[in-house]
Amino acid sequence: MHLAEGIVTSPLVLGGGVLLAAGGVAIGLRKLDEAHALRTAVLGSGFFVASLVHIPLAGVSVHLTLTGLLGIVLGWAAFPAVLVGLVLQSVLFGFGGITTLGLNTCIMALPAVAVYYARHGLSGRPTGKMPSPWLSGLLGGLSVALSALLLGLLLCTVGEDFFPIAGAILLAHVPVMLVEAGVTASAVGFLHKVSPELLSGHALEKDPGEQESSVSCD
Amino acid sequence: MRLTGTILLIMLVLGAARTTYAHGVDLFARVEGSNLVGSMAFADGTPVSHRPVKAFAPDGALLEETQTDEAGHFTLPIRAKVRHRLIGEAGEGHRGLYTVPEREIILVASGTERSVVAGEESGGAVEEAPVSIQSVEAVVARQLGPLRDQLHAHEKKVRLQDAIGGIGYIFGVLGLYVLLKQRFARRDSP
Repeated sequence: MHLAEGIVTSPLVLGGGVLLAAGGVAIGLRKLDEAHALRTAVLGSGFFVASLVHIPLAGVSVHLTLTGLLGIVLGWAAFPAVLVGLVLQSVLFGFGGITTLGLNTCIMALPAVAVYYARHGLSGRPTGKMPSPWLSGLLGGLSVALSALLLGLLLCTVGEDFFPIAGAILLAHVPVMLVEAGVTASAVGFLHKVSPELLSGHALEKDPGEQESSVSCD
Repeated sequence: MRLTGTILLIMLVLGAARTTYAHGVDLFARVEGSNLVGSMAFADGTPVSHRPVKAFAPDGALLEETQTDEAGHFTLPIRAKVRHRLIGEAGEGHRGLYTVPEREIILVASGTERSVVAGEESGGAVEEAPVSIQSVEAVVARQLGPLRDQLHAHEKKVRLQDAIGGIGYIFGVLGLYVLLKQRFARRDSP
Protein backbone atom coordinates (compact mmCIF):
# COMPACT_ATOMS: atom_id res chain seq x y z
CA MET A 1 0.00 0.00 0.00
CA HIS A 2 3.02 2.27 0.26
CA LEU A 3 3.69 4.21 -2.92
CA ALA A 4 7.39 3.91 -3.72
CA GLU A 5 9.67 6.74 -4.73
CA GLY A 6 9.88 7.64 -8.40
CA ILE A 7 6.59 6.19 -9.62
CA VAL A 8 4.58 9.38 -9.43
CA THR A 9 6.88 12.13 -10.69
CA SER A 10 4.42 14.90 -11.52
CA PRO A 11 5.22 17.85 -9.21
CA LEU A 12 1.54 18.77 -9.33
CA VAL A 13 0.41 15.43 -7.91
CA LEU A 14 3.26 15.22 -5.38
CA GLY A 15 2.70 18.84 -4.32
CA GLY A 16 -1.04 18.28 -4.08
CA GLY A 17 -0.39 15.30 -1.82
CA VAL A 18 1.88 17.37 0.41
CA LEU A 19 -0.67 20.19 0.66
CA LEU A 20 -3.57 17.84 1.40
CA ALA A 21 -1.50 15.98 3.99
CA ALA A 22 -0.32 19.24 5.55
CA GLY A 23 -3.93 20.42 5.83
CA GLY A 24 -4.97 17.16 7.45
CA VAL A 25 -2.01 17.21 9.85
CA ALA A 26 -2.78 20.85 10.79
CA ILE A 27 -6.40 19.97 11.60
CA GLY A 28 -5.24 16.90 13.49
CA LEU A 29 -2.68 18.84 15.52
CA ARG A 30 -5.25 21.46 16.52
CA LYS A 31 -7.30 18.70 18.10
CA LEU A 32 -4.30 17.15 19.78
CA ASP A 33 -3.64 18.19 23.36
CA GLU A 34 -1.99 16.50 26.31
CA ALA A 35 -5.08 14.43 26.99
CA HIS A 36 -4.98 12.88 23.53
CA ALA A 37 -1.27 12.78 22.87
CA LEU A 38 -0.85 9.48 24.65
CA ARG A 39 -3.58 7.66 22.77
CA THR A 40 -2.32 9.16 19.52
CA ALA A 41 1.17 7.91 20.32
CA VAL A 42 -0.11 4.44 21.23
CA LEU A 43 -2.18 4.11 18.05
CA GLY A 44 0.54 5.74 15.96
CA SER A 45 2.95 3.12 17.28
CA GLY A 46 0.37 0.47 16.44
CA PHE A 47 0.21 1.78 12.88
CA PHE A 48 4.00 1.91 12.65
CA VAL A 49 4.46 -1.65 13.89
CA ALA A 50 1.40 -3.15 12.18
CA SER A 51 2.93 -2.92 8.74
CA LEU A 52 5.90 -4.95 9.96
CA VAL A 53 3.71 -7.75 11.23
CA HIS A 54 3.22 -10.17 8.38
CA ILE A 55 0.43 -12.65 8.53
CA PRO A 56 0.63 -15.54 6.10
CA LEU A 57 -2.84 -16.08 4.69
CA ALA A 58 -3.86 -18.36 1.84
CA GLY A 59 -0.39 -18.45 0.36
CA VAL A 60 0.23 -14.73 0.43
CA SER A 61 1.70 -12.70 3.21
CA VAL A 62 -0.25 -9.60 4.19
CA HIS A 63 0.41 -6.83 6.62
CA LEU A 64 -2.05 -4.74 8.54
CA THR A 65 -2.47 -0.97 8.57
CA LEU A 66 -4.90 -0.48 11.50
CA THR A 67 -6.14 2.73 9.82
CA GLY A 68 -9.74 1.79 10.61
CA LEU A 69 -8.94 1.64 14.31
CA LEU A 70 -7.02 4.91 14.03
CA GLY A 71 -10.08 6.55 12.51
CA ILE A 72 -12.44 5.16 15.14
CA VAL A 73 -10.37 6.30 18.11
CA LEU A 74 -8.47 9.33 16.79
CA GLY A 75 -10.50 10.96 14.03
CA TRP A 76 -8.48 13.78 12.49
CA ALA A 77 -5.58 13.10 14.86
CA ALA A 78 -4.95 10.05 12.66
CA PHE A 79 -3.17 12.40 10.24
CA PRO A 80 -0.23 13.32 12.50
CA ALA A 81 -0.08 9.73 13.80
CA VAL A 82 0.13 8.34 10.26
CA LEU A 83 2.65 10.97 9.18
CA VAL A 84 5.06 10.20 12.03
CA GLY A 85 4.65 6.47 11.46
CA LEU A 86 5.35 6.80 7.73
CA VAL A 87 8.42 9.01 8.26
CA LEU A 88 9.90 6.36 10.54
CA GLN A 89 8.94 3.47 8.25
CA SER A 90 10.60 5.25 5.37
CA VAL A 91 13.76 6.20 7.27
CA LEU A 92 14.24 2.96 9.20
CA PHE A 93 12.93 0.37 6.76
CA GLY A 94 12.95 1.98 3.32
CA PHE A 95 9.19 1.70 3.10
CA GLY A 96 7.55 4.19 0.70
CA GLY A 97 9.73 7.26 0.26
CA ILE A 98 10.36 10.81 1.32
CA THR A 99 8.98 12.52 -1.81
CA THR A 100 5.85 10.38 -1.65
CA LEU A 101 5.32 11.03 2.05
CA GLY A 102 2.47 13.46 1.39
CA LEU A 103 0.68 11.07 -0.95
CA ASN A 104 1.19 8.08 1.34
CA THR A 105 -0.11 10.06 4.31
CA CYS A 106 -3.27 10.83 2.33
CA ILE A 107 -3.63 7.22 1.18
CA MET A 108 -3.55 5.98 4.79
CA ALA A 109 -5.07 8.85 6.77
CA LEU A 110 -7.97 9.94 4.55
CA PRO A 111 -9.71 6.56 4.96
CA ALA A 112 -9.20 6.87 8.72
CA VAL A 113 -10.93 10.27 8.69
CA ALA A 114 -13.64 8.83 6.43
CA VAL A 115 -14.20 6.09 9.02
CA TYR A 116 -14.56 8.77 11.69
CA TYR A 117 -17.25 10.56 9.68
CA ALA A 118 -18.94 7.28 8.83
CA ARG A 119 -19.32 6.77 12.57
CA HIS A 120 -20.45 10.22 13.58
CA GLY A 121 -22.25 11.53 10.53
CA LEU A 122 -21.15 14.43 8.36
CA SER A 123 -21.30 16.94 11.19
CA GLY A 124 -18.45 14.99 12.81
CA ARG A 125 -19.99 15.52 16.24
CA PRO A 126 -19.54 12.47 18.40
CA THR A 127 -22.88 10.85 19.06
CA GLY A 128 -21.51 9.22 22.19
CA LYS A 129 -22.69 5.88 20.91
CA MET A 130 -20.24 3.03 21.23
CA PRO A 131 -19.42 1.36 17.96
CA SER A 132 -20.19 -2.33 18.03
CA PRO A 133 -17.29 -4.64 17.25
CA TRP A 134 -19.12 -5.78 14.12
CA LEU A 135 -19.51 -2.27 12.77
CA SER A 136 -15.90 -1.51 13.65
CA GLY A 137 -14.73 -4.59 11.80
CA LEU A 138 -16.69 -3.48 8.75
CA LEU A 139 -15.19 0.01 8.98
CA GLY A 140 -11.70 -1.48 9.41
CA GLY A 141 -12.10 -3.52 6.23
CA LEU A 142 -13.58 -0.53 4.39
CA SER A 143 -10.63 1.68 5.29
CA VAL A 144 -8.28 -0.77 3.54
CA ALA A 145 -10.55 -0.79 0.48
CA LEU A 146 -10.56 3.03 0.44
CA SER A 147 -6.76 3.13 0.67
CA ALA A 148 -6.57 0.69 -2.25
CA LEU A 149 -8.92 2.88 -4.30
CA LEU A 150 -6.91 6.02 -3.52
CA LEU A 151 -3.73 4.24 -4.60
CA GLY A 152 -5.47 3.14 -7.81
CA LEU A 153 -6.56 6.73 -8.41
CA LEU A 154 -2.98 7.93 -7.98
CA LEU A 155 -1.61 5.31 -10.35
CA CYS A 156 -4.13 6.64 -12.90
CA THR A 157 -2.14 9.85 -13.03
CA VAL A 158 0.86 7.92 -14.32
CA GLY A 159 -0.98 6.32 -17.19
CA GLU A 160 -2.59 3.25 -15.65
CA ASP A 161 -6.26 2.64 -16.43
CA PHE A 162 -8.30 3.09 -13.28
CA PHE A 163 -10.55 0.04 -13.36
CA PRO A 164 -7.96 -2.67 -14.09
CA ILE A 165 -5.38 -1.30 -11.66
CA ALA A 166 -7.84 -0.46 -8.88
CA GLY A 167 -9.43 -3.88 -9.38
CA ALA A 168 -6.06 -5.61 -9.13
CA ILE A 169 -5.10 -3.70 -5.99
CA LEU A 170 -8.48 -4.32 -4.36
CA LEU A 171 -8.29 -8.02 -5.17
CA ALA A 172 -4.77 -8.26 -3.76
CA HIS A 173 -5.98 -6.63 -0.56
CA VAL A 174 -9.03 -8.80 0.09
CA PRO A 175 -7.08 -10.91 2.62
CA VAL A 176 -5.81 -7.73 4.29
CA MET A 177 -9.38 -6.42 4.54
CA LEU A 178 -10.52 -9.64 6.20
CA VAL A 179 -7.67 -9.72 8.71
CA GLU A 180 -7.95 -5.99 9.31
CA ALA A 181 -11.70 -6.35 9.95
CA GLY A 182 -11.04 -9.15 12.42
CA VAL A 183 -8.31 -7.29 14.25
CA THR A 184 -10.29 -4.03 14.38
CA ALA A 185 -13.33 -5.86 15.71
CA SER A 186 -11.33 -7.60 18.43
CA ALA A 187 -9.48 -4.41 19.33
CA VAL A 188 -12.75 -2.49 19.68
CA GLY A 189 -14.22 -5.38 21.66
CA PHE A 190 -11.22 -5.20 23.94
CA LEU A 191 -11.51 -1.42 24.33
CA HIS A 192 -15.22 -1.79 25.19
CA LYS A 193 -14.09 -3.83 28.12
CA VAL A 194 -11.06 -1.97 29.37
CA SER A 195 -11.34 1.62 28.21
CA PRO A 196 -14.73 2.56 26.74
CA GLU A 197 -14.02 6.30 26.93
CA LEU A 198 -11.60 5.87 24.03
CA LEU A 199 -14.47 4.80 21.82
CA SER A 200 -17.16 7.34 22.64
CA GLY A 201 -15.30 10.08 20.77
CA HIS A 202 -16.44 12.62 23.37
CA ALA A 203 -13.04 13.25 24.80
CA LEU A 204 -11.81 14.24 21.36
CA GLU A 205 -14.39 16.94 21.06
CA LYS A 206 -13.23 20.25 22.43
CA ASP A 207 -15.11 22.74 20.34
CA PRO A 208 -17.95 21.31 18.28
CA GLY A 209 -17.92 24.38 16.05
CA GLU A 210 -14.50 23.44 14.81
CA GLN A 211 -15.77 20.32 13.22
CA GLU A 212 -18.20 22.09 10.90
CA SER A 213 -15.56 22.60 8.25
CA SER A 214 -15.73 19.05 7.05
CA VAL A 215 -13.13 18.36 4.42
CA SER A 216 -13.93 15.81 1.79
CA CYS A 217 -11.25 13.70 0.25
CA ASP A 218 -10.14 14.37 -3.30
CA MET B 1 -14.73 -10.00 25.02
CA ARG B 2 -11.85 -10.83 27.30
CA LEU B 3 -11.19 -13.79 25.03
CA THR B 4 -11.02 -11.65 21.88
CA GLY B 5 -8.71 -9.24 23.67
CA THR B 6 -6.44 -12.07 24.70
CA ILE B 7 -6.46 -13.48 21.18
CA LEU B 8 -5.58 -10.06 19.79
CA LEU B 9 -2.75 -9.67 22.24
CA ILE B 10 -1.36 -13.12 21.48
CA MET B 11 -1.63 -12.44 17.74
CA LEU B 12 0.26 -9.18 18.06
CA VAL B 13 2.95 -10.65 20.28
CA LEU B 14 3.41 -13.66 17.99
CA GLY B 15 3.43 -11.37 15.00
CA ALA B 16 6.01 -9.10 16.56
CA ALA B 17 8.14 -12.08 17.50
CA ARG B 18 8.33 -13.27 13.91
CA THR B 19 8.59 -9.74 12.57
CA THR B 20 11.53 -9.73 10.30
CA TYR B 21 10.79 -7.94 7.08
CA ALA B 22 9.16 -4.79 5.82
CA HIS B 23 6.94 -4.89 2.77
CA GLY B 24 9.02 -2.87 0.33
CA VAL B 25 10.64 -4.29 -2.78
CA ASP B 26 14.15 -5.55 -2.42
CA LEU B 27 16.28 -5.40 -5.55
CA PHE B 28 19.87 -6.58 -5.45
CA ALA B 29 22.49 -7.33 -8.08
CA ARG B 30 26.18 -8.18 -8.18
CA VAL B 31 28.74 -8.68 -10.89
CA GLU B 32 29.40 -12.22 -11.99
CA GLY B 33 31.62 -12.68 -15.02
CA SER B 34 30.40 -10.40 -17.74
CA ASN B 35 26.92 -10.15 -16.29
CA LEU B 36 24.99 -8.49 -13.51
CA VAL B 37 23.23 -11.25 -11.62
CA GLY B 38 20.50 -10.33 -9.21
CA SER B 39 17.13 -10.95 -7.74
CA MET B 40 14.00 -9.01 -6.88
CA ALA B 41 11.71 -9.95 -4.03
CA PHE B 42 9.07 -8.38 -1.88
CA ALA B 43 10.77 -7.77 1.40
CA ASP B 44 8.93 -10.63 3.10
CA GLY B 45 10.83 -12.92 0.76
CA THR B 46 8.17 -13.55 -1.92
CA PRO B 47 9.95 -13.39 -5.29
CA VAL B 48 8.78 -10.80 -7.79
CA SER B 49 8.30 -12.99 -10.88
CA HIS B 50 8.07 -11.97 -14.53
CA ARG B 51 8.56 -8.26 -13.97
CA PRO B 52 10.82 -5.89 -15.92
CA VAL B 53 14.22 -4.83 -14.60
CA LYS B 54 16.02 -2.00 -16.37
CA ALA B 55 19.61 -0.82 -16.06
CA PHE B 56 20.33 2.87 -16.59
CA ALA B 57 23.62 4.68 -17.14
CA PRO B 58 24.44 7.75 -14.99
CA ASP B 59 23.23 10.00 -17.84
CA GLY B 60 19.85 8.28 -17.76
CA ALA B 61 20.32 6.24 -20.94
CA LEU B 62 18.78 2.77 -20.89
CA LEU B 63 21.62 0.23 -20.98
CA GLU B 64 19.83 -3.08 -20.76
CA GLU B 65 16.41 -4.47 -20.00
CA THR B 66 15.23 -7.89 -18.94
CA GLN B 67 12.53 -9.73 -16.99
CA THR B 68 12.77 -11.65 -13.75
CA ASP B 69 12.13 -15.38 -13.91
CA GLU B 70 9.75 -17.40 -11.74
CA ALA B 71 12.11 -17.21 -8.73
CA GLY B 72 12.67 -13.47 -9.16
CA HIS B 73 16.21 -13.88 -10.56
CA PHE B 74 17.56 -11.96 -13.53
CA THR B 75 20.76 -11.59 -15.53
CA LEU B 76 21.82 -8.46 -17.38
CA PRO B 77 24.87 -8.33 -19.65
CA ILE B 78 27.42 -5.62 -18.87
CA ARG B 79 28.27 -3.53 -21.92
CA ALA B 80 29.95 -0.48 -20.43
CA LYS B 81 32.11 0.29 -17.39
CA VAL B 82 29.75 2.81 -15.86
CA ARG B 83 27.62 2.98 -12.74
CA HIS B 84 24.51 0.84 -13.31
CA ARG B 85 21.30 2.12 -11.78
CA LEU B 86 18.74 -0.69 -11.67
CA ILE B 87 15.01 -0.16 -11.47
CA GLY B 88 12.66 -3.08 -11.00
CA GLU B 89 8.94 -2.52 -11.47
CA ALA B 90 6.93 -4.78 -9.19
CA GLY B 91 3.59 -3.21 -10.12
CA GLU B 92 0.87 -1.51 -8.08
CA GLY B 93 3.13 1.28 -6.94
CA HIS B 94 5.92 -1.06 -5.84
CA ARG B 95 9.38 -0.45 -7.22
CA GLY B 96 12.86 -1.61 -6.31
CA LEU B 97 16.00 0.45 -6.78
CA TYR B 98 19.62 -0.64 -6.62
CA THR B 99 22.84 0.93 -7.81
CA VAL B 100 25.93 -1.03 -8.77
CA PRO B 101 28.87 1.39 -8.42
CA GLU B 102 31.36 1.76 -11.25
CA ARG B 103 34.23 0.26 -9.25
CA GLU B 104 32.36 -3.06 -9.05
CA ILE B 105 31.73 -3.24 -12.78
CA ILE B 106 34.22 -5.44 -14.61
CA LEU B 107 34.33 -5.65 -18.37
CA VAL B 108 35.46 -9.16 -19.19
CA ALA B 109 36.89 -9.42 -22.69
CA SER B 110 35.41 -12.42 -24.46
CA GLY B 111 37.78 -15.37 -24.43
CA THR B 112 39.60 -14.70 -21.16
CA GLU B 113 37.19 -16.80 -19.13
CA ARG B 114 37.72 -19.67 -21.49
CA SER B 115 41.49 -19.47 -21.14
CA VAL B 116 41.20 -19.88 -17.36
CA VAL B 117 39.03 -22.96 -17.78
CA ALA B 118 41.53 -24.38 -20.24
CA GLY B 119 44.32 -23.76 -17.74
CA GLU B 120 42.44 -25.61 -14.99
CA GLU B 121 41.77 -28.57 -17.23
CA SER B 122 45.37 -29.02 -18.20
CA GLY B 123 46.26 -29.59 -14.53
CA GLY B 124 49.90 -28.78 -13.86
CA ALA B 125 50.20 -26.27 -16.65
CA VAL B 126 48.25 -23.57 -14.82
CA GLU B 127 51.21 -21.27 -14.26
CA GLU B 128 51.81 -21.13 -17.99
CA ALA B 129 48.24 -20.15 -18.88
CA PRO B 130 47.86 -16.44 -19.57
CA VAL B 131 45.69 -15.13 -16.72
CA SER B 132 44.56 -11.57 -17.05
CA ILE B 133 43.70 -9.29 -14.12
CA GLN B 134 40.15 -9.14 -15.39
CA SER B 135 39.64 -12.87 -15.29
CA VAL B 136 41.02 -13.03 -11.75
CA GLU B 137 38.60 -10.27 -10.79
CA ALA B 138 35.77 -12.21 -12.40
CA VAL B 139 36.62 -15.40 -10.51
CA VAL B 140 36.97 -13.58 -7.20
CA ALA B 141 33.63 -11.85 -7.80
CA ARG B 142 32.02 -15.22 -8.43
CA GLN B 143 33.54 -16.70 -5.29
CA LEU B 144 32.41 -13.77 -3.18
CA GLY B 145 28.89 -13.83 -4.68
CA PRO B 146 27.20 -16.00 -2.04
CA LEU B 147 28.81 -13.93 0.71
CA ARG B 148 27.52 -10.71 -0.87
CA ASP B 149 24.02 -12.23 -1.05
CA GLN B 150 24.18 -13.22 2.59
CA LEU B 151 25.42 -9.81 3.65
CA HIS B 152 22.67 -8.12 1.69
CA ALA B 153 20.01 -10.32 3.24
CA HIS B 154 21.36 -9.48 6.66
CA GLU B 155 21.38 -5.75 5.93
CA LYS B 156 17.78 -5.84 4.72
CA LYS B 157 16.48 -7.52 7.83
CA VAL B 158 14.28 -5.29 9.88
CA ARG B 159 15.70 -5.52 13.32
CA LEU B 160 13.56 -5.67 16.38
CA GLN B 161 15.50 -2.82 17.96
CA ASP B 162 14.63 -0.58 14.98
CA ALA B 163 10.94 -1.26 15.52
CA ILE B 164 11.23 -0.63 19.25
CA GLY B 165 13.27 2.49 18.61
CA GLY B 166 10.61 3.73 16.20
CA ILE B 167 7.94 3.38 18.86
CA GLY B 168 10.13 5.43 21.17
CA TYR B 169 10.46 8.14 18.52
CA ILE B 170 6.69 8.33 18.08
CA PHE B 171 6.14 8.86 21.80
CA GLY B 172 9.00 11.33 21.90
CA VAL B 173 7.81 13.41 18.94
CA LEU B 174 4.22 13.61 20.18
CA GLY B 175 5.38 14.32 23.74
CA LEU B 176 7.59 17.13 22.48
CA TYR B 177 4.72 18.57 20.49
CA VAL B 178 2.44 18.62 23.53
CA LEU B 179 5.21 20.16 25.64
CA LEU B 180 5.72 22.98 23.14
CA LYS B 181 1.99 23.49 22.76
CA GLN B 182 1.60 23.82 26.52
CA ARG B 183 4.50 26.24 26.71
CA PHE B 184 3.05 28.48 24.00
CA ALA B 185 -0.40 28.30 25.58
CA ARG B 186 1.09 29.43 28.89
CA ARG B 187 2.94 32.28 27.23
CA ASP B 188 -0.24 33.47 25.46
CA SER B 189 -2.60 33.19 28.44
CA PRO B 190 -1.31 35.67 31.10
